[in-house]
Amino acid sequence: MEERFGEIYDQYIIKIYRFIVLKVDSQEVAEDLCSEVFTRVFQEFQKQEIQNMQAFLYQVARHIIADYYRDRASFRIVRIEEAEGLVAREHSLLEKAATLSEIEEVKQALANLRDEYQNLIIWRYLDELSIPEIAQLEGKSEGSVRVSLHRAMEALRGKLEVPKDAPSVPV
Amino acid sequence: MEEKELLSKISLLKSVKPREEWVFSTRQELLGDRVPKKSFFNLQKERFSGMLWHTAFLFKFAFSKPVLVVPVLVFLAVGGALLWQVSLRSLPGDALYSLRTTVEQVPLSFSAEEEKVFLQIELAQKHLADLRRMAEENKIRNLASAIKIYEANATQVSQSVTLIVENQPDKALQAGSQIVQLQKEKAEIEKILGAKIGEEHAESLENATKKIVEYEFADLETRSLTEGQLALFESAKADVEQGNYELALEKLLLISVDIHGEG
Repeated sequence: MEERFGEIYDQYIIKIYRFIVLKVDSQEVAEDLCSEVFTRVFQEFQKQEIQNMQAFLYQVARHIIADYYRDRASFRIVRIEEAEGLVAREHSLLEKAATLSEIEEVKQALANLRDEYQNLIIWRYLDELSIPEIAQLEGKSEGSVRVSLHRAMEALRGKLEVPKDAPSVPV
Repeated sequence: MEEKELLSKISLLKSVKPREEWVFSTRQELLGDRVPKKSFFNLQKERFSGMLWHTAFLFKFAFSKPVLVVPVLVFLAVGGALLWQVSLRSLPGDALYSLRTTVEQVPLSFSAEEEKVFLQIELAQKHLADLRRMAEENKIRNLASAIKIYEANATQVSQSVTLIVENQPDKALQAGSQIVQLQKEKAEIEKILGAKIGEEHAESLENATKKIVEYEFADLETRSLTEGQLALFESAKADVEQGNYELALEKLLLISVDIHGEG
């Protein structure tokens, strides 16, 4: 049992960690939440046969991330759509992005997308899941996933192009 | 921004990965660090038998052409010596590690029972040193295998120590002192790794230490001790009451050294 779960752990640990860290943007929190995901899934694995392990892992991860933000409301993800009136905060993010590496820039842009778009981009382009697999995870039709994915990419493109058009930050 | 550029920016995030130490320690906490299906020792055996097969093939080829016999033998001797030297520095997961572990086992097979425990302790110390190197050099990938090897050593050591206490108690204290050193080194490596090593086997090693301590107590009670030795003896007794056999053994060792120094 442990041996089989060990193989599952080795196969998915990086994907699940990345899925989480891109949403919480803190290594420590991501490690804690990711450990919790695997602990919960292992408990279920011991009780029953899990048909689609990948889907189950992502499902548990999403619930745990949601619980985390619910418990710590002040630390929720700042979505750009919700961020009207938080201009100063947004500028501060941009200031950071200007000094951070390109990776940080993409991370920030992704973190500013709505949760659904983040998931779609991570699953499709980082975890390289197929459209049918994503459709299964989201409980949507493949066509609907394609449309949402297209919108997610447009939204990300928009976020990544913001710094170019943004007014220069005073030194 | 072009689609291609956008995709290449996204793919940068593939480099976001967890810390290897954390991946390892979480796995260990969750699963008790079970090693994959194919045990490390079996894997090493397979690799070594593969090496033997290639050597046998070379011999067959050489002996089919007599002019090649001497050069092939010289090549094998020089190559073998070089390989052996390099393999001494190898770590679990390295190609030459199988050669090292196989050769390491040879003296154990030919040693007398009373010497075996000291060779086993020496081997355990070497494998702990490997663990330290792997932890310090951040070579976490094969850490689980290295720990498994150390655990196997620790089990052998505890079994042999139990036999020594029963059959050759005069050598038990010497073995005990080396076990204490081994446990200290292990504790240091655990600090570096941030994880426990071989918890399942810790009890057997502790039982072995306990047996040595009990024997030494019985022995020292028959001797007349100086005031200082007696104070140390009482202090060791207090350690035993608190379950700290390692510390008690260290104090008994000091008394023993003192007695032999006086003698």
